[in-house]
Amino acid sequence: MNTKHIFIVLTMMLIAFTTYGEEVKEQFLEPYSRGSQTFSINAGFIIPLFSLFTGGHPVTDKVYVPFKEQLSLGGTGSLEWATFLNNRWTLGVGLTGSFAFTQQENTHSLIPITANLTYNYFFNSFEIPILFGAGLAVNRVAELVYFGTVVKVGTGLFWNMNAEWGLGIRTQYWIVPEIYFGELSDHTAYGNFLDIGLSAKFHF
Amino acid sequence: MKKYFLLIMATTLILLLSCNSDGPGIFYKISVEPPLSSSSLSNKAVYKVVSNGTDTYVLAGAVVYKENGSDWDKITAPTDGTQAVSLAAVESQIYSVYANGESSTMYKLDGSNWSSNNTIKKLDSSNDLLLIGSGGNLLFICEEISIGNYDVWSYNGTDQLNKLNSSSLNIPITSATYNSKNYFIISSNTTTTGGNNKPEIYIYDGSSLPWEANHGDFSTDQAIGGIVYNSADGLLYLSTKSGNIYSSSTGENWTNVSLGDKELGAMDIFHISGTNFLLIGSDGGFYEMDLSKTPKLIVTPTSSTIGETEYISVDLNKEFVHSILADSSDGFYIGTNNGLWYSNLKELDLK
Repeated sequence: MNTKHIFIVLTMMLIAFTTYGEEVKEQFLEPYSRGSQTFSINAGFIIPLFSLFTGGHPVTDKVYVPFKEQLSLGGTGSLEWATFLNNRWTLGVGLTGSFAFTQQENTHSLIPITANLTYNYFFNSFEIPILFGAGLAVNRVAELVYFGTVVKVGTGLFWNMNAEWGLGIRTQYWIVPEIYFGELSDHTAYGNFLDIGLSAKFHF
Repeated sequence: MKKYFLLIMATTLILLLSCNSDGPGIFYKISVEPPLSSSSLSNKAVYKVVSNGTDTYVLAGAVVYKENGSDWDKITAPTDGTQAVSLAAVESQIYSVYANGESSTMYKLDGSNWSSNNTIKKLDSSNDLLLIGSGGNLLFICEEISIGNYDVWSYNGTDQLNKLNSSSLNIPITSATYNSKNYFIISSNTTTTGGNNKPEIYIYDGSSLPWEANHGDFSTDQAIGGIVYNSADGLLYLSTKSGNIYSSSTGENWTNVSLGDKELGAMDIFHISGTNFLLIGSDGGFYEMDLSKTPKLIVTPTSSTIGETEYISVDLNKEFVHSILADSSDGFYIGTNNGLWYSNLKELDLK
């Protein structure tokens, strides 16, 4: 062994002795960043809760009018797209359709189109979105149609199977205003609904 | 700054565009929609609603039914192969006409069975009979004695069956009433070409004079829906199929209120909280006229205020109303092409 070889071995030993015992620190890698996108397909049930007649119901004079037997449990489905503004917040749009049945077996349908702002909380392979949405809604029963607005708040729990796909459950609370002026002003009401369902989310 | 301005403009536009061109409110309609009726009258055309003061009867299709709690019992036809074509009530009795295409016979209801009596047997069963109206405790019957020729009878419910006028009319009679002085006989036809087929009013004082059309200043270029007499104000009310309500004390000078382009027909007087209302059936729901107001106040089928109660009839707006009956329980029946409704002023329910 010549001098050169001895120098290399001593250097390697020095490196080994100085790094022995030090812990390797792990860094948490944010799963998404600005520009990441998601696409969700959702399906579930819609539960008609109650309507609020701010001026009192024209017949009963009550403000709180539960839907109860007047509107059945219904179904809902939606498509949502979102893009990450940073590693937590997303902004996107959603198109939803829901239906339920009245006592006379007329179909009540709601078709909201909303802009959604969502905060996503991540832990392990799970994520919890907290959503706020607002937009337009087509509100229809029998031959009556109302073009109005809608506000949604919601949350869910997703398990990310891999980097691309996540499955989860989600729930959203809808407030659907129906505002009138003039002769029908006492028909102004705010419909309240709860949407519960399953969701499949694709990250790209 | 420009971004906020655009956002505000978009929000304002959204609110302004929120609309429902055909009120009422959707959540309101859902909240007042009655349950589907499971009664025997569901989806049947109810042509007549009458009462003997205790029970309610309807002519639905070609069958007479009696109200039995929440449902209706069928009254068996008096003879196999006959169908009910007419129903009326006078002096707390129920009367009908059953026909089989070759003959038609008038009957009185005894309990749950139809019977005849020597008085009404005087009507010739080989002729077509129709019960066309009532007034002053009299029932009016139109008898087609030959093709295109009609006699009008009055019946007091017991032993007096009288032919009004010895001569016949050569136009179908559709309704009649009596105001304690004169008989008002209405003929109507959908044609307006004049001659013998035009709508007409005959005022008859019971004398032996022949029939004479006497419509006063009523314009006979419109088909007549019905006539009713209100003893409270002494006025006759006449509805037309071109949307007008006419009123007169004598049948000569008429004043009218227009309800638009609705085809108006059956009427009845409804008394509530000291006020009389004229209930008017149409080809799309019904109207209420407040007879205490001057000029008389009409409310539409889409909104109604009686006293301090407000309700909106929505589904009923699509239905043709054949018959209206105000009953003694502060409510009224509406017989439509699609079942029977009952209103107690706060709600409108299918019966």
